Amino acid sequence: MSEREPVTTATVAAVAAQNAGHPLDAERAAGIAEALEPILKLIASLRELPLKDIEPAAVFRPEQVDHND
Amino acid sequence: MTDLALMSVSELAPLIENRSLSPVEVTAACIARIATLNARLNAFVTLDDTAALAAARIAEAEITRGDYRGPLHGVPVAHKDLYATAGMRTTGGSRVLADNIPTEDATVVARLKQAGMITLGKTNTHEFAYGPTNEVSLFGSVRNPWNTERISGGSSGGSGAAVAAGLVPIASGSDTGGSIRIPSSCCGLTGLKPTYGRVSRAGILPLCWTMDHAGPLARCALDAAMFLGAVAGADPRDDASAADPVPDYVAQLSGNIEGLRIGVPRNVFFDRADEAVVGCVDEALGVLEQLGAVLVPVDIPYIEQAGAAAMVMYLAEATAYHDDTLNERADRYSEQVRMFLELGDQILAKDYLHAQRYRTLLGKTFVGVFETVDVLATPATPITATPIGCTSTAINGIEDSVFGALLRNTEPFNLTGLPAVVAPCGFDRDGMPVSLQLAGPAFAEGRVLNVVHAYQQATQWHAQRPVLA
Repeated sequence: MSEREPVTTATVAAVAAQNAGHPLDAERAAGIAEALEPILKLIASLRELPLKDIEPAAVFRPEQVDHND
Repeated sequence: MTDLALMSVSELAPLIENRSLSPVEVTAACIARIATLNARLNAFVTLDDTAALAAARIAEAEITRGDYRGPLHGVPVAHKDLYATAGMRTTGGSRVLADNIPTEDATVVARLKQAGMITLGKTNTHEFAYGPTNEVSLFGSVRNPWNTERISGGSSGGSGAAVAAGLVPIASGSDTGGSIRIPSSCCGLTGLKPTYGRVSRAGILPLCWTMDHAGPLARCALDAAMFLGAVAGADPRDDASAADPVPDYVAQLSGNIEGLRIGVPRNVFFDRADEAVVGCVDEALGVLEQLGAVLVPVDIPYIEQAGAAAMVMYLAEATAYHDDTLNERADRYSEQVRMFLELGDQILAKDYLHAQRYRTLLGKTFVGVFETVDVLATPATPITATPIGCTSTAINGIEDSVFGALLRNTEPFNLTGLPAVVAPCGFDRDGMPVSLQLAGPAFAEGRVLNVVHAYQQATQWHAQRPVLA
């Protein structure tokens, strides 16, 4: 996996407005960016785990119909 | 007679059953104590004394005519303000739901009413259960009865403070990263997070669907077992509800732990805990050893990543749940919770799924550990209750965030869904409670509660009460 670049205020503002639909003003975006960078560094540790053949804990389960017959 | 409000459920029950004590007397004693102490603690946020006394009179009449329902009959209970209570305000500690009055009870509330318990009111919570300190709430911070300048721990902090201060004998809580066990640890109580699916979440405001659990904050393991027996079991209103049969948890409390193998994972759980906390927990382990248990050093691989995985889960799932409200009423959230929700917008789907894959990995790791030991013992929280407003703390000279430290030892059992119980085992140099955590394999609630019960038969830490003149 290639190296991630540090997150910027502009990226946070764009993701919030264009992806999430929760636009932020510049001051809030700056605050989120500052809080987000250490979280992303922490999360990166998950990408380094031996997860190759492991499926997510949330597994799809089809809904079943009750049959009376 | 001992102050009624300070008695445990298991002390009250036989007196109520043999009619030497009326549910009305107990309920009135709790109401009187709330009137005297709640302003200092901010534990209760809604109290319906008229309805509670009416329910107590009904319970009294039922018991008098011989219709005794069991050991919870006529005993008062309080519910975290995250639980839906029909006709009674349920805010989640947030301005977003300041005027919310549900029309239906949460399953846990309904089952406890069925068991004859008297609903006193609702207890304070960290806003939407999104924080382990209980400093942020529509109603203000909860204060710890052992030192009102300290946090109660959260997010079920109102329940913790209320039970510890003798405002109510037992209360409900919810636990997504430790929110039953952290306030129990900070306030000197016995708090149980059952196996995921063991107790219905229906009617409880979600924080993170895949990690939310419901359970009690109690004064001893026996009380927690009684509560669990009344609320556990399948519920068609909760898709995650387990169909496994519900055993008699009280009958499982033999107090015999002879030969029980207790795994002691020093990595992360102990080596990043305050030395005063570790000292008390090691003394407790010595007591368990004297009672016949065998201590086994174990190592939990991959545990270092638990905090990162839990954070991804909270951020992604909580933001998904609050998506619409964040769009329409963002200004009604506290600044702290609003920021957490906005941070959730920035999480990538692949990172959420890596975290879910990590949960599978960690679950398999614990299965391996429980092939060699019967239970695990750790400090409940690596630190004791911190001063209100304090965001960082030093653990053995190393700076750590209060949030991260409080959650570190409890979160792994939310990620894996395994049952865990905490119980007081001493005090630190400032007189704040220190607690031990016992965790077991899935659906081994009886086993972990029995270890605590054995410990509580041999010690008196659980019987200590804060002085609140």
